[in-house]
Amino acid sequence: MEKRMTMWESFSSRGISRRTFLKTCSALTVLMGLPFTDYKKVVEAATKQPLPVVVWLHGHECTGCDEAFIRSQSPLASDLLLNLISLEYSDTLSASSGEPFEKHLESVIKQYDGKFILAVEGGVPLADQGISCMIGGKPFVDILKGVAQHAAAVIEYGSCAAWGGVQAAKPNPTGSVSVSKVVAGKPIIKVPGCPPIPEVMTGVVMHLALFGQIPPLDSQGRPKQFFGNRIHDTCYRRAFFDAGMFAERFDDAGSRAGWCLYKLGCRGPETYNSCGNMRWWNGLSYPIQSGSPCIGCSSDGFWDNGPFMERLPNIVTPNSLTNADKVGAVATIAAMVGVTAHAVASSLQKAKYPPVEPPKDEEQEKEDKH
Amino acid sequence: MKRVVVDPVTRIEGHLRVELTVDETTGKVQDALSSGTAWRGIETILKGRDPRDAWAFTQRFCGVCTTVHALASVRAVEDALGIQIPKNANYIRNIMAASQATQDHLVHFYHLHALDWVSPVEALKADPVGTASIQNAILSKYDLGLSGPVEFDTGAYPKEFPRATPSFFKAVQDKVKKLVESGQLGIFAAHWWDHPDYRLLPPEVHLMAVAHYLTMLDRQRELVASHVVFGGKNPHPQYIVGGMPCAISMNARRSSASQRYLAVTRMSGRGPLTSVVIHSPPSAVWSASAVPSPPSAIGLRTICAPGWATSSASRTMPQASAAVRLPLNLSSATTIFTGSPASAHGRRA
Repeated sequence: MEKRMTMWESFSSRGISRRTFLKTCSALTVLMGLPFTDYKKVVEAATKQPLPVVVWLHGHECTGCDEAFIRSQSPLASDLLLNLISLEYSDTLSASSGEPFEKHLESVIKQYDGKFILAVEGGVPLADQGISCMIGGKPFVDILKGVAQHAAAVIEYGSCAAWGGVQAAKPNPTGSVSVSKVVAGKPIIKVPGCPPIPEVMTGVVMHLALFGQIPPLDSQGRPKQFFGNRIHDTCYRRAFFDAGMFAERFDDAGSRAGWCLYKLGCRGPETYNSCGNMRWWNGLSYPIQSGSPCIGCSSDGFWDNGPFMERLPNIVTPNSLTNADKVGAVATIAAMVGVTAHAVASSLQKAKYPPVEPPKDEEQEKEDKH
Repeated sequence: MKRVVVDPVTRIEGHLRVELTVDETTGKVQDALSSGTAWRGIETILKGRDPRDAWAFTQRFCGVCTTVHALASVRAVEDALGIQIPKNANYIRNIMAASQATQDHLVHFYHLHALDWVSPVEALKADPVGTASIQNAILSKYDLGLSGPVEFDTGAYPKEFPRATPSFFKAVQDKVKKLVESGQLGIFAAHWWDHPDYRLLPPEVHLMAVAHYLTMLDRQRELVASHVVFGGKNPHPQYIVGGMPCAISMNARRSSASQRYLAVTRMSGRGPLTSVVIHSPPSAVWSASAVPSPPSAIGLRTICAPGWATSSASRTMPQASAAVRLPLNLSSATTIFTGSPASAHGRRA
């Protein structure tokens, strides 16, 4: 077995400076959600740990997760593929195909037995002995079981692998299930999302590679640093929710002003993901910022939690006395009646809930007069 | 006769199996069968669901050619229900579809297809000087000479990318060499690089294509930035039946991250342009400023751009819809409007 390069060797052999290497390490530290005091540990690991060998299996999927993976900006996709990991088997990117490709998988498993990271994209169909997804003449479920027992850790990449995905929505004609339903006895990390944010996957892979252990997980098996918060908790429109300022229709003034999309069906209050803080394209946007309610694509069974544009029932607003419907009414009544007996309380209320009135459309009024 | 089976076929979306019967004496294919070996039943799953959600399910057919299935689905639902969408929504959908087409061609050409006839191993034999001269010959031959606004850099190789030099190709060659020597070939492992067809092209062209492969791996993401701006993410941006959800004025957002993608709004107000895609902020005639980071300033500031912005979106929508019925899919998937802002917005019922 030839010696595998470390990240530092990989960088230096390609003429990339130590300075760039250290900058990459500090970026990775932040990306992995570690305190900056762990920076030295990251540098040390990147200098000593060999590059991770990644085997990427495709089940019942749409390749969107693969595409998301190569949209990674920090680090850039080519760096990721050539300098940071060794992607030995991937249906989407590998040059090879057919028999030599399958032989290569066998040899990789043999060579890196118990050391490679297995990333699985897509659900696992079980109905009719798994004939809904065949690779090389074998059911995917058999291949998955065979490869997984030699892996160091398994990453369920995307909502299909993590929960079953779109094909597992009712009536689930192919009997699709998540990877963890058929693989046992290995550390499994769920990275749900349809697709997940590219940098989230990078962070998880690098954590595994550099520290040789899985990152801290929540009760559902998702890495805490990326799935510890609801989108609602980090949403830049949260203040509008708290203030009871909601877009009621996609074409109303509130929608144009960027108010909360909760009443338009936003799943932010029940969805755990990093969209609110990391966002897509290095902070460029995420669905809510683009005016579209979150459909909760990283939640278990979100496909059957429709219709997506219907609001969730009874999410309690933070003062815990009322819900989204009542907030507006309370504020309006408080403003109109001005109950003196509750002067203190209502002044507080006013500070929290400024009068909610859509902006006047002067042009429209002018036209109406004409 | 020899039976050849290629399964899995890689560098595609999904799972494919190809079976061939080849006459060994002539090398001719006698019979061929290709079959998709995965079935997910999304058609079955979609039955009985809310039509407003159909785009989300349909979009998951493919993540490589993302967006297009959603667009077709949204259009089908609108067609069935007789919904006519606002003009601006159509512009935005067209921008997204066009940028998807561009990005998908690029990914298909380099990352999915090129390795069938481009070999990194052959590229090692190339002379970087020869590669640079081929590249420059191509650039000058196919330069369309379009003169767009200076700041948008419409050349094939933008200014920050003056790379058709021998030293650039030498650097790429060295990178590939290191990779081959390390034995950790990664995605290039276990392929028939010794197949004689890889010698059809000269090594210099191989090196050029490999350089493109690596560079475009990093750049393809930029082409679909419009999906992130208007649809929130990529792959699988968000749609709504009846229009597009991105109603906020882009002018109102001042974050440095998004400024570079604001070519669309920066082009407005210059009078007639040669290739105008959109003249106004997304679907906003009145653009109320978003308050990007509450609680700094909760409240509203309304901006009215004079001339072509004369009414609220809700007011314009029925009229714009009644005035022009845009061809949804008569000739092609996308319609790009050219002309002055006045002609695009001037028609009213």
